Amino acid sequence: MTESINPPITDLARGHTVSRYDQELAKLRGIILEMGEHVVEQIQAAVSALVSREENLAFRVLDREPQVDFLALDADEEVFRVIARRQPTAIDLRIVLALSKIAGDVERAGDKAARIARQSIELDALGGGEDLLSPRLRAALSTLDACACCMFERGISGVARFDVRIALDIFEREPALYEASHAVRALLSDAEQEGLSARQTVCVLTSAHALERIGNHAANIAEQVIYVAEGQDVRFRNREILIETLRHRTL
Amino acid sequence: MTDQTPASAPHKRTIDAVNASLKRRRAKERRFRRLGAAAVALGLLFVALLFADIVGKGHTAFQQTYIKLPVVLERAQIDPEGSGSAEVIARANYLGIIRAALRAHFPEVTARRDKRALYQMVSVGAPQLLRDRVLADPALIGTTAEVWLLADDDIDMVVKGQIDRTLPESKRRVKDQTLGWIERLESEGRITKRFNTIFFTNGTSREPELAGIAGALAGSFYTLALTLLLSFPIGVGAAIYLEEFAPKNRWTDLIEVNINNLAAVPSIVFGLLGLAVFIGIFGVPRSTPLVAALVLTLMTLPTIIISSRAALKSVPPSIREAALGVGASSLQTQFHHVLPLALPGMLTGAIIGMAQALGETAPLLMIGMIAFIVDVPAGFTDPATVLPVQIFLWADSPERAFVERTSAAIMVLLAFLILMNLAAVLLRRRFERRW
Amino acid sequence: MITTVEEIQRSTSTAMRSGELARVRESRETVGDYSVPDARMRCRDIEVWYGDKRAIHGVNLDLGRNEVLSMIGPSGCGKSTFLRCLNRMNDTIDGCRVSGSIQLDGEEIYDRALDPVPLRARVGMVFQKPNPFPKSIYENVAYGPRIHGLTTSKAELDALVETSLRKAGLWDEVKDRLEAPGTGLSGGQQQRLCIARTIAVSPEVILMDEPCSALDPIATAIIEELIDELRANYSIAIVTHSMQQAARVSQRTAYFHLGDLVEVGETNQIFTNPQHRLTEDYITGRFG
Repeated sequence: MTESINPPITDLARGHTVSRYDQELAKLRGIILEMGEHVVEQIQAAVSALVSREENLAFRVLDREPQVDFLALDADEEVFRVIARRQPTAIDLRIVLALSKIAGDVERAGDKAARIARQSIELDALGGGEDLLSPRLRAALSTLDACACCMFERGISGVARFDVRIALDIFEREPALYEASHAVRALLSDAEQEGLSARQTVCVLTSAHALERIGNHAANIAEQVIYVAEGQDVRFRNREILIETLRHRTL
Repeated sequence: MTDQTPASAPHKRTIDAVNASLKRRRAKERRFRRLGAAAVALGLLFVALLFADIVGKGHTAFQQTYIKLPVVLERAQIDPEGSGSAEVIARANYLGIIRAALRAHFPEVTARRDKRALYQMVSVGAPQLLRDRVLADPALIGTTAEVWLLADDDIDMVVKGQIDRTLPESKRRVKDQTLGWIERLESEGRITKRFNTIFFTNGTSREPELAGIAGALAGSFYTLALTLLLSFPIGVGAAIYLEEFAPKNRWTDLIEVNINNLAAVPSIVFGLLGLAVFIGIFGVPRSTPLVAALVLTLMTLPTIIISSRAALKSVPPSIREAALGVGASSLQTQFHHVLPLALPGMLTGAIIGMAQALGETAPLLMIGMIAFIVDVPAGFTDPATVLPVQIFLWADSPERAFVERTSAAIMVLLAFLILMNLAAVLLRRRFERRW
Repeated sequence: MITTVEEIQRSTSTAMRSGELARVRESRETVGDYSVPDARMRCRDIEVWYGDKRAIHGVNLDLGRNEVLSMIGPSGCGKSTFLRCLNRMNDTIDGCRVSGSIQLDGEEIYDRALDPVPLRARVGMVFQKPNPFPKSIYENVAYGPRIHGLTTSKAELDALVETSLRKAGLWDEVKDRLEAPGTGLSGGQQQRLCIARTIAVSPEVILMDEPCSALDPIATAIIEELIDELRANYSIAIVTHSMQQAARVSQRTAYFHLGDLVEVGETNQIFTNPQHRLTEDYITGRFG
């Protein structure tokens, strides 16, 4: 027993001296992660309702939407509680503030999923059949969906780990998102060729726009991840320079 | 809950264990309290015994027996020329007058030996007292006055019952003949007891009825005053230096140890030191309050230094920091802030030291305070004795009447000690500040 | 999905490690810029020894004009020791040695020729425990000016006492009982009296050693407000155990750890994005 091994002076993984504080922060993050999980499912369900014209799926998305809203309220409450009771500082403060903003982004991404579901229902109401959308358009929408969903899922995993590399990955996917979005718009600009009425075009366009916005929300989440990890607010920075800097750092 | 607990699994609750031991603990506490109370009671009992003994023995010394006799103060004998000058009156033969009065009152006494015994009934100091009386009131000259004459100590003892009249003649100091005279005087109402002012106004004497404590009190006063004057400034100064300014090193540690040791040195050693150094080397006159004060200063210094340092230590350091923090120098900090707060404690220490000095005997024996000095000292360099030494001397005297005087002197000494301790308590109460 | 506390904690540490390139982890060099232009006090390579024990290892730190500099850190980190170097209060401690250079307006304060007594009038100090003299309120404030001979008449002294008490925000509460004992005031009032006593000798710098640790939150808030007002005229260095207090009152914050100055910087930055891992651990409450 005479030999004492000096541990490193502090280890962050050890958590706070007040373990209850850790539990509260963990609870807050758990809520956000659960929201993210829900929203990812919602997006996938809404897009497949749109693309493969399944009305039931679209209704189910609308039914489940309030769940995310309730979770957002929970998250807010938890944020207030942590701030009021623990007065977080430094990384804890950044985590709480970032999670509060991320909760907003996730909740609005959930709204976008609901919007897509509503467009899908409207298309049905307008009498669109199963083969309303051309294979070309379907493919373009799927690409956009894949891109947005991937970004969003990564955003959520970023919340789980606050890893700069995940954020960088999301930023790097942004051009692809805009490209896919542009491709959908280009197809729709020639609406007659696709055989869609103006109303139907608007519906599809709105959906595509919502998907693009989901990608944007994911990028916002990535910005918050960087804020937590680096302590720097990168929201209105030039994206390309930022990506370069981050690449250089994470090398 | 408890009823349902199965007996096979006895779960011992803390409260049960506590309750079980509680009785024992309480009993222990009670025992300790009783022991303490008993110790205090025992102490009080002994103090009470001591006081009772001293007061019982000494209270009679505050009264003195007087004999009333018609004294013929003939002008021809006292002031034949009628000049009225005090010098002439003072030179008259009052002893003869008193003896004449005695002879006149007891005309049956004729034998030479009996006459001497008769004359001894009155104190040898009586003529002087009579002279003082006549000097104070010259109108008495030429009359026959009934005068209260101071009785001899043996007569005093008989009257106070200290000498048992029923004992066989061979076993007591007063002969049957004298006893008979006393009884006659008593039956005539010519013997009385009055408050003993002589005890407080006279110096010591070989004759108990003329012995007083005034000389010893004055000696004690001069000695203590000088001791306080010397030891308080020196002691407080030393304490402040040691506590606040002296560097903490091996030398100051050594000094501290020595001061503590000095406090435990037997006091007679200080007396020897005084004899060797103050009287032997510096030639300070012996048996004076001056040399006594020097010796007692040495003796009380450790007490005063130790108590002053304790008082300084008890001043919170925050006060020092506050004063230093506004830019006061160390000396200003000490004298403006620390000293006023420490003063009550220092004074208490000084008074306790003084009380100790007041009761000190041994070292003073070594420096000649034991000399027999009748005069009341008038200054620091007059030969003097002090109260405790006086008590020691009287206790050594064979006369029965000195026993009660010894006790009376002890009572006076105790009264002064109690007064000083009371002063210490009052000072502390009065000036102690809370912060 | 991750839900357990352990996993979340692990992920937090991953988050921190991912940012490790930006963050200093073990260095004992001071992170951040310790110097300020036109500093009131300039400390370089300060080392303090108590006997054989080195309490402070080579600290460099400046105190700017009209700023509140707070010093935080765990117990025994040397922040109070450092503060007490600034007005040579450590001189009173036996076996305490200070090396390095401390300049007040360019003047070396540990110069042998310099008398610490006038220095302490220029660099005042407020202590952890309110320690008014056991005298009247008036005497408490008047004592400093009187021993330094700052006033020539009674009227002038009265005016100075009033100004000082006003600056300390105590005048209205005590103006009717200036002769009452200072120790009879409440804790917060006593501490403000001590501040009044300090500013009565018009120092250039005020050092505060945990001035609110014995006070309730309301008294603390009043003192903090006072510190903010005093900043207009004085440079203030404050040692505090309350990180919230450091965050509230100071413009710059210095974090001490085991005798090292680990990090110094703008208070805003220290409390939102500290650069040194030790600082982060301390202010987020991860300190063992």
